[in-house]
Amino acid sequence: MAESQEALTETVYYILLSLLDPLHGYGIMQNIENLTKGRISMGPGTLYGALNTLAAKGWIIQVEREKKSRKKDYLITNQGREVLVREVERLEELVRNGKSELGGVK
Amino acid sequence: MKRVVWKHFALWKLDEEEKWLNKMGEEGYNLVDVKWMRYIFERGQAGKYQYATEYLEKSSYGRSGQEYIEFLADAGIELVKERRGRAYFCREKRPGKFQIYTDPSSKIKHFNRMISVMVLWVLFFGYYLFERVLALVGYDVFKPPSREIYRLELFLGILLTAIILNLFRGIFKLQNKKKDLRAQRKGKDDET
Repeated sequence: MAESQEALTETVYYILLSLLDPLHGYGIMQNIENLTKGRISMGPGTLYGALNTLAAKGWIIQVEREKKSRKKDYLITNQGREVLVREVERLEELVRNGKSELGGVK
Repeated sequence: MKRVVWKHFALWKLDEEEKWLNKMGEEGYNLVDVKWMRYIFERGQAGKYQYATEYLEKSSYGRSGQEYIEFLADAGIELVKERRGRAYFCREKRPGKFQIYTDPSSKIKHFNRMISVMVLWVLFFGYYLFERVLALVGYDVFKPPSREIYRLELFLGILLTAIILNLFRGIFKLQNKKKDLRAQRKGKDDET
């Protein structure tokens, strides 16, 4: 890994993870609640702001759900996917090191 | 059956307002409208709705605002009323707290919106206070103000000073809340 990447916040991590397939705002909130078994319950204002930030970074885009439908879905971009993959690798390293060190202590 | 309650919450007491609206809802008074210094409730099922307040972004008035309102509608949240930037949202009661903002960073941004408009008010009232002071110290020496005018200027001056001091108190309170949130954020390493 040439360039290091800042750690993603839980909010961003779970939003990106929710958008591997197109999904609407409320769906994202529900998905995050399900994935974390209710630990993270994201407010709609917080989510809306985060989605705009991620779209501005080019990590996600808005897609039309159906023709003539005003409702918008969100979807991860290739760039966003790369960020997510690198983050998972970073987290794996954290967990691997944690486990091996702790295992040694036991 | 409608019930009108005369009440006023300063902008920096948005969370107290929210708490109060939820309490009214628990008692079966559901908010239907907000007017100057007045809240209008309709008698209904107790505890059916939950309420949340937000000071909207400037752009929320325009088209992007409509987009946000629709985004919320998608999540089952209804806009009861928007008045001078303050939005009153409700949703049918579900388990969990009804919060528009849930992480420290977005809460801080919300407070910053309130603080910036309050600073504008301070400047606005400050300018008028400055004018009153000029009038009081005999800005127009050749035509001294009559006693009535003098009293009026003095009254306005005191009123404006009170308003400005109150605004400063509000800004100070919000700054303190922000400080607590920043400390939380540091703990959680959250930076959205």
